[in-house]
Amino acid sequence: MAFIVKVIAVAVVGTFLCIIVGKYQPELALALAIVTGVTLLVYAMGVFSGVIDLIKEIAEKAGISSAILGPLLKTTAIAIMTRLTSDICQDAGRGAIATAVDMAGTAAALYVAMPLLRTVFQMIEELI
Amino acid sequence: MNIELIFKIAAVGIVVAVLNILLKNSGREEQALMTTIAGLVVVLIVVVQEIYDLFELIRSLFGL
Repeated sequence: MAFIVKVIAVAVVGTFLCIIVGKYQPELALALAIVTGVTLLVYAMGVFSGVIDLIKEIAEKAGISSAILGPLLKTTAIAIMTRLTSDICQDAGRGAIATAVDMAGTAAALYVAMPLLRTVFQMIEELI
Repeated sequence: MNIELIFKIAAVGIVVAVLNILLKNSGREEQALMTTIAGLVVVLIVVVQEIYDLFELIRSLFGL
């Protein structure tokens, strides 16, 4: 509970400061938005690490190899980073750059997930 | 949580805005532009460091 209250407080204060600074210095307001977002994400990641530990623990008990779990976590990380970057670009009114970042993120996620797809095809081959 | 950084950047923004208006009113347009750019560079150095820290954290967390 304290976690989400803190996040809300920082987000609201950050947004207010962005509006105030943005009236006079729009480029510094963008920097302020980036720092607010990054601060909140760093804070959220601190909590999220506990969840990841739990996922790893469950996977170990269920006998799922890290070769399957690894790509899953990696794609999540890629999605978080790409989404933040592309949204910041979109906020600054640069939709073209945001789309390029999205495309690069998709390519990276597909590349990371390739071993997983290969495992699936191998399983299908074994079944046939 | 590093909230001081948000306030610091907001303070830099307000100071730069005030200086900008003062210099513009006293007819020093080019110096006003210089203050804007200086403030932007100072803030950018902080922001880039912060983004790097976040991405490093995510990399270590997700084993990328």
